[in-house]
Amino acid sequence: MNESSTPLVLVADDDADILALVKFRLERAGYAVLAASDGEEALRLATEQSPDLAVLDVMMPKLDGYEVTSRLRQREETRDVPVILLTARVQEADVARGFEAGADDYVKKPFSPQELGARVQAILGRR
Amino acid sequence: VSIPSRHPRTAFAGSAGTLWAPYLTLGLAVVASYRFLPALGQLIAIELLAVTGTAAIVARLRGRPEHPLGWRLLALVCLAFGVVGWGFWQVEVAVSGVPPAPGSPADVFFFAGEALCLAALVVLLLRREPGSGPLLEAAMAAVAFGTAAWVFLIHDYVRDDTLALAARATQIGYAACDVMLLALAVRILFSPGRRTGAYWLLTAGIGSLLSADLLWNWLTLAGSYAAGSYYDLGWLLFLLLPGVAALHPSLLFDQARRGGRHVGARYLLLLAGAALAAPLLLAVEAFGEVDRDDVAFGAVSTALLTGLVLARMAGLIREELRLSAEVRVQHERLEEAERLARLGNWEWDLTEDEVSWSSGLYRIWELDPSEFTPSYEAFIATVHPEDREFVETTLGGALDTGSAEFEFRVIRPGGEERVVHASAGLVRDAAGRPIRMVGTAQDVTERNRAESALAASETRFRTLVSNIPGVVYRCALDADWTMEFLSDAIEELSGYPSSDFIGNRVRSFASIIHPDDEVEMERRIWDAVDAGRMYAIEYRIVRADGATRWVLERGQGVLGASGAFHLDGTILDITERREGELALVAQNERLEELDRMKDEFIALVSHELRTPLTSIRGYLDLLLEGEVGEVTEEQQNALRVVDRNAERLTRLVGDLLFVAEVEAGKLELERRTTDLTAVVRDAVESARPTAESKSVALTIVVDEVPTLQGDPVRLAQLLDNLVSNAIKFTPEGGQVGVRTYVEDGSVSLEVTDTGMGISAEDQRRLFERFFRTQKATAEAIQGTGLGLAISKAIVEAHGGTLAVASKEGHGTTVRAAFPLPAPHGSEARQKEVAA
Repeated sequence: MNESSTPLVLVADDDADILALVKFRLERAGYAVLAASDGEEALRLATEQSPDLAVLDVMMPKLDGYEVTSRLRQREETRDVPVILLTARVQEADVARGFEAGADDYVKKPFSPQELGARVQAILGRR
Repeated sequence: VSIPSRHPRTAFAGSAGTLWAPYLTLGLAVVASYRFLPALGQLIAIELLAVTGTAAIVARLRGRPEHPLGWRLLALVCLAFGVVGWGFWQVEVAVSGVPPAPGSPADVFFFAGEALCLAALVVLLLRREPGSGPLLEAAMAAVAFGTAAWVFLIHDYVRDDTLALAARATQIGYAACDVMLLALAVRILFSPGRRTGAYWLLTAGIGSLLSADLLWNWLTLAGSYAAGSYYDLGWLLFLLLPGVAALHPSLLFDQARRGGRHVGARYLLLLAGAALAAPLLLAVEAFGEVDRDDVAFGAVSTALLTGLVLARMAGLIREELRLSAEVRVQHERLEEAERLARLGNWEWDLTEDEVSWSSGLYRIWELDPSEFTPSYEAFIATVHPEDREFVETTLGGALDTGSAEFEFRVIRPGGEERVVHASAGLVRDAAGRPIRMVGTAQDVTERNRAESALAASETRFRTLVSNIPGVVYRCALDADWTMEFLSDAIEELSGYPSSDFIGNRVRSFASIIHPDDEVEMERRIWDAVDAGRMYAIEYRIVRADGATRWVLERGQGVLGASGAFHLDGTILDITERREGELALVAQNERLEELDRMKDEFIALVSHELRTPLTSIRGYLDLLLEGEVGEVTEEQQNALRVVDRNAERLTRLVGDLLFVAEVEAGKLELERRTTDLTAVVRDAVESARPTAESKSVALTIVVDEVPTLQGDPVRLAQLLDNLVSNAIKFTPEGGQVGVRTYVEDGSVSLEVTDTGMGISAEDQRRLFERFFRTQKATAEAIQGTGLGLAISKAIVEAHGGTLAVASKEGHGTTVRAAFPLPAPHGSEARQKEVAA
């Protein structure tokens, strides 16, 4: 857990516009945001910075969201980081795969930034 | 083991069949030269003839003639009489110049020869001679010639005391033997089974012996016999001819014609001769210088001969009577046959110009024999006037050509018309002049009628068959499918004429079946026949030009009158249909593939659209909320337009994805207990602003309905679709009503509007994806044509049905009906209603 009172949220999306939008929204909502534009970067940042929450796009180059989630779960220092997946896929099988990999929640694309903010708050507030 | 290449009989026939003529020629040459040879030469000639004769007969026995014992005895005759007896005699002649005295060893062998000859003839005459006739004839000949021999020879020897007893006995013995031989030879000549070349030659040989004996007897009596002179020629011929007879081909091959006895002039002459022989001799004796003491003998032999002739005559008369009775029976039988066959016969004596009719003919013509006198003219008068010229021409033609066969009509006395089939044949005399015309006539009226009825039926059947599309057949249940009947249409189908297949004349039907289909076809036909079912099978045949055609054969096994199974059925060319089906299948597959590709494409595109849409809407929100700087009123209005359209685009992408999922069979519901009325209320409330902006009255009537196990998100989507649709198609001032109620065991949800309505034609296609009514397109009402398709998919995923009732210009009602949940649910509903 980040030591400052401002929770640190890792956001990973290969679409720069969406990444910037989510980052802007979350920062406005009062979170510190780490932005990653692919799976590898997300994994590296998560390991280095130990964020309080990770918002991961499923469809990303190099490592996809499922893969990043399961790797986070395999490492001691990131095992407990909550993960919200952003997915354009809507099949139950896809959702199930996300939970199997260790995700805590998912948000379907297209999503409204408010909805995402609400979910982030819900998870962090629970803790 | 040696195997004879040919049957011994045919082998011998090949080499000996033509030997008889050269042997006869050479023999006759020897006989002719005999007179001029010295005694020793004569001995050689005699031995030569006797030995070759014996050899010829023995050799011929290998060909297995009839009565082989008889011929064996004849060989012994040549041996005993010629080789030994005459050999001894001639040696004596050569040595002493005179023949041996009577009673010498030569006579012993001569007698042996005669006895053997008698035995041989008896054997040859054995069998196949019915009745006492042959015996009587032999007896007659024996008595007649015996009498003659007695009167002219034996009688004299008996009374001639000057000769030695041995000499007299020898002479008398020879005469007696000769009489018996003569009797048997005559029998052979008159025996119907013996009139062949071989037997003629044999009888000629016997005749030669008899004449030589007679000559010798006579000359010896007169004391003028000289050995080695031409007096001996008869004996030489007797040695030669049996051998020639044995070699004659008729012995083995020209089996005697076994005709009946023919009592001809020759035969009657023989009988008369036999009857007159004794009286004639007595007359000769009476007027000649003969002693009276022979009268008793003459009387006895005359009486004997007369008795024999009478007995023979009686036999012949009996035979004649039997024959005439037989003829009468035959005649009656013919009459009966004619009556049954409606047949008659006629004869026209051309020389006398007399016509006679059988009773059958009178019966056909229905004429009375006592009233009608047949003649050519009378006959022509009975012929149908239209046929007269034809009949006369035909009969006239028959006089030239010798025969005719024709049909014509006759008019019976009662006026009835009958069809008669007639035949005529000309009989000529030995000189070739026509003397008679004979023929038959048959009443074929009924037969012709039946035939023409049959022909008409046949024609009808053929016309019927030829008008049936395809081939009609009847075939045997065998490996060839042997055709009994096959209609002409087979030629168009197979390229071979129907006649090729009938009875497998040129080819079997099995031969044109595609080899790959043969086994299966046979199995299915047999299965069907075994089960007593009809069969319908599709298989290929190979045409004459090598092309393959698909055919459909239908038929069934039928038990024929003969007790054998055959198949009756039809064969249709279904090549075009088969090809069409295959093309259709391929086309369907291609269409399905295209459909699948389209769905994938839609899914892909929609997904790719979502990401930019997320950005667009996210940033619009930022702008509208003033998060990135102050926005003027006008700018806000412009941004709202952008936002509204972005939202529309988002919805469209969602719909497209949804439809693609439904099509891919991937629609999954997240079921939970759902209160339909709540969903309805929410949907109506969120649609209210739109309705109000269009001045459409939105009413809601919600009965309490039981909760459903359903997907609330999807049900909300359904309601949104239906309500927004209704508002969209309802003009200003109209009404949109939403109801829920329970009816007929289902939970119903109804959305009614007073809008433009949907034409019956459009209603049929309403649930198709992307379908838009003509009006919607014409009035440029926004929409994708997906709403109702999605609604239907959602309702059906919940196990319900979606129906539309509409009248153009009067509004539309869309009704979704969901099945009621299990019974406890309905109890709950009742409680709720009561509360």
